[in-house]
Amino acid sequence: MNQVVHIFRKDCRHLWRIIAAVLVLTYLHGYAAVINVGRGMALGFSPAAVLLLLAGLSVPLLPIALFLLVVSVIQEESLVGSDKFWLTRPYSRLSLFLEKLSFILLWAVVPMLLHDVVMIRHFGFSLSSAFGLLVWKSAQFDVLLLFAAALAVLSESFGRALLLGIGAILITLLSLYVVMQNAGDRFVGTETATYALLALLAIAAGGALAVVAFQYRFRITAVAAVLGVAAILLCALLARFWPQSLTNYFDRRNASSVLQSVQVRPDANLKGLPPPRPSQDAAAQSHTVYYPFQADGLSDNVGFDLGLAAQFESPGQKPAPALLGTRVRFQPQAAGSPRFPDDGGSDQLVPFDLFYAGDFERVKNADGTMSGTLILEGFRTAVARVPVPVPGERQEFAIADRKCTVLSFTREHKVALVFDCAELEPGNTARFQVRLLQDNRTIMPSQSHGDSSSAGSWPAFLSPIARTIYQCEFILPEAAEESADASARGREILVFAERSLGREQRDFRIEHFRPAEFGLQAWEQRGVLGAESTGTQSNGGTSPRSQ
Amino acid sequence: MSSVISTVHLSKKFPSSAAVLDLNLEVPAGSIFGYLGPNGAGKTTTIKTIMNIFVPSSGSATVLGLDSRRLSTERLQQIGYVSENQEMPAWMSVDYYLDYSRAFYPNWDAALCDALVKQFDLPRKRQLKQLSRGMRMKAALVSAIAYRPQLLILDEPFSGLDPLVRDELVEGILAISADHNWSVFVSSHDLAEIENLVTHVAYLDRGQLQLSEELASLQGRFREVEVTCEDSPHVPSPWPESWMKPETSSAVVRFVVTDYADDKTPEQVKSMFPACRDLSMQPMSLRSIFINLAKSRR
Repeated sequence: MNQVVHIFRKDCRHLWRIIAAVLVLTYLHGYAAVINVGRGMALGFSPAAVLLLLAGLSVPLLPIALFLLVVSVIQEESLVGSDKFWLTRPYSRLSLFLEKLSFILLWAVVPMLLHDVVMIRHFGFSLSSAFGLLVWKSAQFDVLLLFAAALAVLSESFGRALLLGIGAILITLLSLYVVMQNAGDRFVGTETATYALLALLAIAAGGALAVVAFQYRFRITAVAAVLGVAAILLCALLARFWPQSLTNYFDRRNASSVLQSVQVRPDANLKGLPPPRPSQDAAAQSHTVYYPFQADGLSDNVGFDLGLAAQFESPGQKPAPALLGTRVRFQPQAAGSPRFPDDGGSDQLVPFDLFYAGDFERVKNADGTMSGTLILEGFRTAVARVPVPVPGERQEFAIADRKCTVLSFTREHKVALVFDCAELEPGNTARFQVRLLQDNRTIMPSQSHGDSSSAGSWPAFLSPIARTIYQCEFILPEAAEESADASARGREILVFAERSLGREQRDFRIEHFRPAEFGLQAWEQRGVLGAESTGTQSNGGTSPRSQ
Repeated sequence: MSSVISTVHLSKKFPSSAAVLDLNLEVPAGSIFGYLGPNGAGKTTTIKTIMNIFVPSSGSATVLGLDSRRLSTERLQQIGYVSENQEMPAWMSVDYYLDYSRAFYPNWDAALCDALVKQFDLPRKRQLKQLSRGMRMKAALVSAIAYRPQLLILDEPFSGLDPLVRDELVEGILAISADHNWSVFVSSHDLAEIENLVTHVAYLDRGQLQLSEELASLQGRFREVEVTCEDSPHVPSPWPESWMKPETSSAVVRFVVTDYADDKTPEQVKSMFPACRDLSMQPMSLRSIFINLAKSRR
């Protein structure tokens, strides 16, 4: 223990400049996140401007300083080479390892943890709700420090560690390139990507830990380097041969119980269905066939977007693969209060787009079976009702774990709203949509739509907070008021946000599927389709629920 | 314990070369042991293997009674080590360097340390990187002996030093080892610089041990013989194996005897050269002995 303290004091004495740099940059990084540097910032020459500039620079400089800190402290007693002073002194390897660990914990991990705590508190989140996030983010951060440590124990100087790091990155990129060449789109757009990445990171972290532990125990650099390369290759192999059963397992595990109770079944007898969204591809419309589906068991505020992989089979014909034609969203009927930003219902006409254009002509008169898998991407909506702020003043509100402020700007007949939201990372809200209300009625959606999405921003390297900015604009009817400023006064906005509930799969099978009889017009003639949506929602006057 | 260092069939091989081959060495306790050999002979590799910096390829080394691969911190507290190639923490001042080293050694003698700093005239506040090579070696030596180690290992400690500094260091080592009866293992490629220091010597060439014995014994059995004859001398045959190959010039024959004995060798030489009149047998310096040994093995 005495030895640990003694070496620790020596390292602090020698590396105090780097320690100071890390602490200052950590502070500036937090400051940069709080003021959101880089967004509409006017810079003049003033102390405040210099501080802002430094805060901005902290974003790229902090990782460099942390890398320098880790490499420097480990190389104070370098494990490579045979002429190092400490090798012939009565150093205990265990004490040395513990000292390096303590140093990195105290000067890199703890400041970053404090940085996170201060940021979480600054944005108004409670530490108890963010505890899991703090642990998770700390683990991410520690893994990155571990990579730096692995490079440090394999090299004699900072320059060599840097070169080694570049080499490791190149090997990793090359491995990933080879993997992606052969992996197709199996990781694209699925939760699996996150789990695969986690698994890869876990292996890489295990490899880095093995390198560090091996070097401190045995100090045989060549063998330790082989361990590191083996870990990289193992990552590449895992990515290449990622088991589909794991994907299914994670999907099942992630799916909310709310989504698991949902049943989706084809039913040709449904009536009053909303018309499907028109396809973007007019040519595809000609070989798209439809079938009504009903979703049972959807609870309040819960919906799902449908995906499918299917194929049409008929006797004597080659199977014809089919995909979803256009986006289909199932949600409970919005009776009374608006809970969803979009139109929709629990009964929907599902478009099957035969993948090959020629297939439709080939099978259109056949009587066959359409079967496959439905993929339910669940979501839960949250709604907030917020007064339109007076121009120049901020209005604060909370929605779906986001803390938001909104500012309004008016010009002629336009009302522009700028939302600035903070949420805990990893981001979990997807779409963010706004409606303008007057007298408890929605008078219009915003002219500009957007997905102010924080989902997919994982991993956040150095910040526990995801900041998202969303702007929208309403163009008011000219005759309605004298000016937008006056017209906006007293009005409210409805803000919708969605959070993912995971993914579920359902098998389906439709017998006697006759493509020629299942075109859109055919369903219309059967009276399956109801009136066309207007694109706005009615509001029965009850207050929407906020979450 | 009769030996502070002992190696048994010790070999250390690198991918490109074999640095030490089948080394059997005994360093008696209390000796000042000169480990000699030309550059690249394998002296530093031997020392690094003894210090557990390198792992032996085969064989073993024992230091202070313990296998070198299991050198514990307690045992390292009894060993002082100074090397010309050692990378010292250059950013430290002399004072901080000694203070930092002190914490690793429970038996650190602060008074001895102060005395040595004064004796070597070390500037306490100056950083090691600002010191001359000689001063750095002095600082390293102080930090290696201030805890009164049982064994002091010096790897080419005088290499590149000016004679004045070298003499100071030699005197310092001699004084301390005489006072405290330490064992000193010192390697060098320059025989003259340690001749006055050592009590025992070993000679290593191309990784193989050529000889190892007490200096007095070595110097006692080596004589440079010069025989002057009337005419051109005839080199008798057979020539004794323990005598090195003779050189002749006009009426003089010169050679080295490696098994000199007062009561035997002069008579033996006279009998080999009965027609010759003058016989001279001179003791040899360590340097001369090893130069002759090296020549004889080529």
